[in-house]
Amino acid sequence: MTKIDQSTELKIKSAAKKIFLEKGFGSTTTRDIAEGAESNIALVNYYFRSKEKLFEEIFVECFADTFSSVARILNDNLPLEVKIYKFVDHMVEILKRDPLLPLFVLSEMRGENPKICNLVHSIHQQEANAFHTQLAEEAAKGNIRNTDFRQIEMSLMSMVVFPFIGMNMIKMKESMSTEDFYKLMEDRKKAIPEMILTYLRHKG
Amino acid sequence: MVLIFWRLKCLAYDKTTLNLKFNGTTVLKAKNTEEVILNAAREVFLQKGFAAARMCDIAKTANINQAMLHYYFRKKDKLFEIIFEQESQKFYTSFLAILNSDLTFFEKLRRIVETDIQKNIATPFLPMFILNEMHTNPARMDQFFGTMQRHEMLFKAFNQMVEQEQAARRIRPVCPRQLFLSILGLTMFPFLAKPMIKHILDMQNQSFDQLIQDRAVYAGDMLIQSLQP
Repeated sequence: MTKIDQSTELKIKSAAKKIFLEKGFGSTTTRDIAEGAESNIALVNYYFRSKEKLFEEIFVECFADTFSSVARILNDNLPLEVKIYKFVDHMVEILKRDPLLPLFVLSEMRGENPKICNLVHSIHQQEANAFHTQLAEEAAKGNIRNTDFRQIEMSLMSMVVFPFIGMNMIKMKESMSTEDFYKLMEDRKKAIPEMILTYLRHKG
Repeated sequence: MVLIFWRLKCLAYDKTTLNLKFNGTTVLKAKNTEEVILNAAREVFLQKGFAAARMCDIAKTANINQAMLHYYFRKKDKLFEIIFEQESQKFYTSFLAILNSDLTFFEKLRRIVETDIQKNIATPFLPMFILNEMHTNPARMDQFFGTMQRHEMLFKAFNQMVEQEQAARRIRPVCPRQLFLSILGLTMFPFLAKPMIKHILDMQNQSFDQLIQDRAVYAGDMLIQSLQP
C-alpha cells in the first residue's frame, strides 16, 4: 500500500472513531464518516468494506491499547499500595483523554457483539490474574483482609469509571466547568486509593 | 344549537386530575388511564431511550389507541419530563429521608447503598437510561436541573453530616464530595457495566444477580470500613 493510501485510511479511521464515540454505532452512518474524513462513501467501503468492519477494527485498537497499558501496571512487580495508586492514576489519565470511551464501550456491549465480548474477556484474564494472586498473598501474610477479590475489583472500577460516565450529570448538578470537573477527577487519584487501602487494611 | 353549546359549556376537564366533568360531575375518570400511560411510557423509555421510543409504542404498551394517548399527553417530551421528574423525585426523597432519620452515620450509609442497589435491581435499565439521555441531549436535561435547590439541599445535608463525623473523630478526614461520588459509583456502576462484568467474570444471569445481591451488603461494609479513623 502506498503512503497516500495509508493516510486516507488513517483519516477515515480517526474520523470514524470520533463519530462513533459521539453518536454510538447505531446512529452513525457511513456517510457521516465519509464527510468527517473529507472522503466519500466509496472510499470508506473500499478500505473497510462495511461500517461493522470499521467499527470492530477501531474498537479493538482503541480498547486493546487502553487496557493493555492498564494490564501492564497490574502485572508489574510492585508493592500493593504503589500499584493501586499507579492504577488509579493511569485510569484517570486515560479517561481524561477519552472521556466518552466508557459510556461508549458499555452501551455497545449491550449489543453483545461476540468479538468485542471475547476481547474484553481475554484482556481481563491477562490483567486480573497477577493482581488476584498478589491480593491473596497479602491476605495470607495478614497484611490485608481476606475478601472476595471480584468485589474489590468492581469497587475500584466503579469509583474510577463512574464519574466519567456520569460526567454531564455531575457537571450540571454541581454547575461546574469542564476544568473544575477535571480538577475533581485529579483529586480522585488520591481519594480512591485511600478508600480502598483503608478498607483492605482495616481487618475488623 | 343552543343546547349543544350549553352542553359543551358544562363539559370541562379538571386540569389537576385530568378528569372529564359534565355539570360538575366526573363522567370520565382519568387517573387510572393516566397511570396506565405513565407506566407504559416508563417501560418504553427505559428500554429504548427517548429518541427511539415512539408514541405508538407507548400506546400499544398501554393498550389504548393513539388518539386517547394524545388526549392525555400531546407530546412525547411532556411524557418524558414527567417520568424523569418522578424518578428524580423518588431518588431525592428516599436519600433525604435516610439522611434526616435518627440512624447513626454508618447505618445511614448502609441504608443508602442498600436502598439504591435494591431500586436498581428492580429497574436495571434506569441508570443507563439517565446517563445516555444526559449524553445525547444535555440541553433537554438542563431544564430538569434548572432548579438546583433539591440537589443543593441534599448535598448540604450530606456535607454537614460528614463534617460532624470528622469533628467527632468517628471517621478519618475525607472530602465529602469525593465520598458522594464514590457512593454513586458503587451503587450505579455494576448496573451500567452488567454486560461487561458478566463476560469478564464468565457469569450467567443468575450468578450475576447473586453477585449484585451480595454487593448490596458488601458495598455498605466497604464504605464503612474505608472511613475508619
